Amino acid sequence: MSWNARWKWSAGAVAGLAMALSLAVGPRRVEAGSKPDPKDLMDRSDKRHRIPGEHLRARMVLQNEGGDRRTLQYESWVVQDDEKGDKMRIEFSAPADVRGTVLLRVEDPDTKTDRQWLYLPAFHRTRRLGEADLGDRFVGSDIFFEDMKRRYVEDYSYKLVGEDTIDGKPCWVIESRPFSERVKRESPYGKARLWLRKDILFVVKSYQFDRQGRPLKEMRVKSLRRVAGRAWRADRVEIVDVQRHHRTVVVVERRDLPRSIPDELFSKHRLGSR
Amino acid sequence: MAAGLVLAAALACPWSRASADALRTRLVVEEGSGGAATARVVARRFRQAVRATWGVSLVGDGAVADAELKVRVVRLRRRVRRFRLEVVFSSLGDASVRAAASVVMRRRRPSRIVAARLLRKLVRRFRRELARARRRWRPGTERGNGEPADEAAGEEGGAGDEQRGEEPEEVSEEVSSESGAEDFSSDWVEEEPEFAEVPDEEAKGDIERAWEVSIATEHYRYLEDPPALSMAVPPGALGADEPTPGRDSVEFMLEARLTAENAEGRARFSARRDFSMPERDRATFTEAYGEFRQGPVMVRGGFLIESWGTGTLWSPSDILNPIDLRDPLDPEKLGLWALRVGLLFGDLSISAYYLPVPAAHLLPPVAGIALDGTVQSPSRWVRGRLVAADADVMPRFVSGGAQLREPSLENTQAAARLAWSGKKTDLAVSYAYMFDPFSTPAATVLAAGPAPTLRIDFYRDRLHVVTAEMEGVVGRWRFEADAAAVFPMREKLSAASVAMGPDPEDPVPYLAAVVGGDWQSAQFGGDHSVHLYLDLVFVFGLDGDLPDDPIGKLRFPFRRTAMFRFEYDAGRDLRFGVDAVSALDGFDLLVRPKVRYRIADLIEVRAYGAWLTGGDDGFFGTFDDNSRAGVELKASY
Repeated sequence: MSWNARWKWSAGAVAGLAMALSLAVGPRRVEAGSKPDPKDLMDRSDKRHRIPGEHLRARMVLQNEGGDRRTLQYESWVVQDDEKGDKMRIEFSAPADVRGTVLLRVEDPDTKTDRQWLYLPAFHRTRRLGEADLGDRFVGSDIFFEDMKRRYVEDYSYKLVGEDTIDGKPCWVIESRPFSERVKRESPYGKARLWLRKDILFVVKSYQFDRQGRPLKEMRVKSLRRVAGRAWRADRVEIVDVQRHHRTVVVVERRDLPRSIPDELFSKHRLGSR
Repeated sequence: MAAGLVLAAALACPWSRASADALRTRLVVEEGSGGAATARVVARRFRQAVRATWGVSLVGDGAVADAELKVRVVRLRRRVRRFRLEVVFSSLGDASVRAAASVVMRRRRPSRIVAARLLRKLVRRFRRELARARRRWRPGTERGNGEPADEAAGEEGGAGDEQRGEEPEEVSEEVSSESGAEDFSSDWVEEEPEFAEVPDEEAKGDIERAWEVSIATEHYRYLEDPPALSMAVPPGALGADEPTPGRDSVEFMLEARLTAENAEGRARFSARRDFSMPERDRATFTEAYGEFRQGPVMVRGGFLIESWGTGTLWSPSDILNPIDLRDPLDPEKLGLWALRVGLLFGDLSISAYYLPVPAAHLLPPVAGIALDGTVQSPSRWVRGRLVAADADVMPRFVSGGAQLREPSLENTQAAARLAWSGKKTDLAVSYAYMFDPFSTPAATVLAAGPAPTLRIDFYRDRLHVVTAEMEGVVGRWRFEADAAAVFPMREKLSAASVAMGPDPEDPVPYLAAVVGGDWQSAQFGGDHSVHLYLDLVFVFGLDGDLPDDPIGKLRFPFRRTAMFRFEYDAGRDLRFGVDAVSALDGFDLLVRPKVRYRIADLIEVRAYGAWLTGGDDGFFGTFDDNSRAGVELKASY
């Protein structure tokens, strides 16, 4: 029996990668010459790009510098609910050794902690998972558990460090550091530098540094599109771990925004069926 | 070790640099003394790619001719494989016939990707040459000094925005006029790693594929010869003079799944040939069911596999399905005809089961009982005697009745389950009214005196089973508790059988429980991690001692036992593990080392061993000559 360690981390991880990495903001005009509050920008970014329900089909390509590659395909359902907490279900369909494996993550909004379960089809069994370290990697990728959790804006401090242009679009460059004691204690990151597009307030690039201040990961998003109302999503996210010279590419193949996703889908008791 | 089994592995891995990913593995397994199957795997994983060769050779002895089938797959390049199939018929009189075919297959790559890559290369080359030419002719510039500065500019710009229905930009003015003046990369890495391109086009395709094909071959050998059979049995008289040498199996599996919005159908088919244990041959559906869901209601019916319990290494609550126990070290859960209706109320789940067909475990075959009371069997997992070797008198054994449980209204089984998942803890209680999947032997003395006569009956008792489970997490620790209380109710055998003598003693109700947990380390060295498991097992009779006959040993192999598992994930493709099971009240030990290596996404190889030791009264000590080593190769698509 192989309760695979690599599955332990971050149930919701990949499903919402494009979402989790997109801290975005609602519209507010910035007067000429004024300097916007970076925390306010991040707060509006977060609110603007939250979507009640989302269904994705995507693949995740894990790649090392030598060319060795592993491709995971999955389907995910995500609910973002401020009152009841976010929920995420990921069902892997390839390769064969993970086919049918289901990960479920349910957030408790009061404690900001997650409950996680894993369904292993080979054993027809659902197993509760212990809490993951926020620096653990999800399925051997470059995505940390920290990346997949909901990032509460108030848990970080922000500083506007300048402006830049990414793919011809002007961006604010904001530096964020862990602020709350919990995140300071648990986060694998010492700081992050975020490129927030001015027009849509979407993070299109980031540099992340480890707790010692060394460069750790670079993230870039591509194929941006507006999916609902004012919310945007990236259909391609590339994360490069510059320390271990490894890259993860998440490519969304299909994205639906169902009017409602049944609660049963996020029940531990229904992981063996859909 | 059985003659002809060679296992060699050489590992050289610079663990200190996870990014190097350099690993070279060579694994060769052969069975060369006229055996039935040969498997050969040679894999080398270099810094950049995997080079793998694997093959399977099957040998069969037929009445007319001996046949050998060889399959070999060689990875030539990244997308190119050579498949070689060879069939050899020999002993056709004085002749032998050999036919072989090879085919080189290349995984299709969309031509437009190839064309786009080629075009990009050409453009890059052209730009480079252009820049060199400019420098060459520019006054004061040295020839060929350095690379052009504008190379590959805008290379990554291919994936632009799709701003459908773009809304007006909300930000009217930039904050400062120093746009682009800052250097945000001063504290970033000087040289970023480079990777091969991942084209979007490759993503299209088979995520909705609802079928899977697997081929697996497993080969193991017992390391010692079994004990000699009773001399009271003429060779071949009971078919027990050729104990199995191990396992040489090839299995083909096909799984199909059909999913609709509120319904799902799934079927798994398995065709297996075991050259060493023909009784394991099968061509059957291992699972086939349909499911319908509407809101909180779920109905599933068909040939099901259900799993209850939280125990990781052994779960006493997992009682519904029959199990193939012919190899107790490798039990295999079997399907069961069932109808399940489930209701969901938030975190609470209620399920009811209707089980129309009583099912029985598959036990190691028994060929008979020798005149000295020794149980005879071709299986290496059946030992013992019904009478002590130094007994003064040798009774005569009479075969009694055996309860056969056919599907009928009278033999209906049912179960119910209540499960709840909380913030830190999951709980479940279940009840089942079912038949014992074991046949319980019972001896009745028909005639005492200097020439006693014993009647052996096999009962399939009705059971009331109550189970309770718990699992919870505290940080990285996970805890589990799992218990089942079993209350058998013995029904009389047929009137004719009962007429032969008084009823034997009633079976003993018992309680089986597991408590334990597991812990997983944080990842280190990239994606390395360690996972530890520990379970303590307690089984005891609630009204008397547990039976100690061969079936009793098989039913209760763990009575007061510690189970331990260690797993080390060395990167994403290699895993080492050791399982250990030890009695707490005596010397009785099982150790199972294992290594699993994923050659590619589709191919996995596993090497393992099992070492049993202990006293004669323990389970593993009784079978200490059943230690073994084996290898399994599995390819799935």
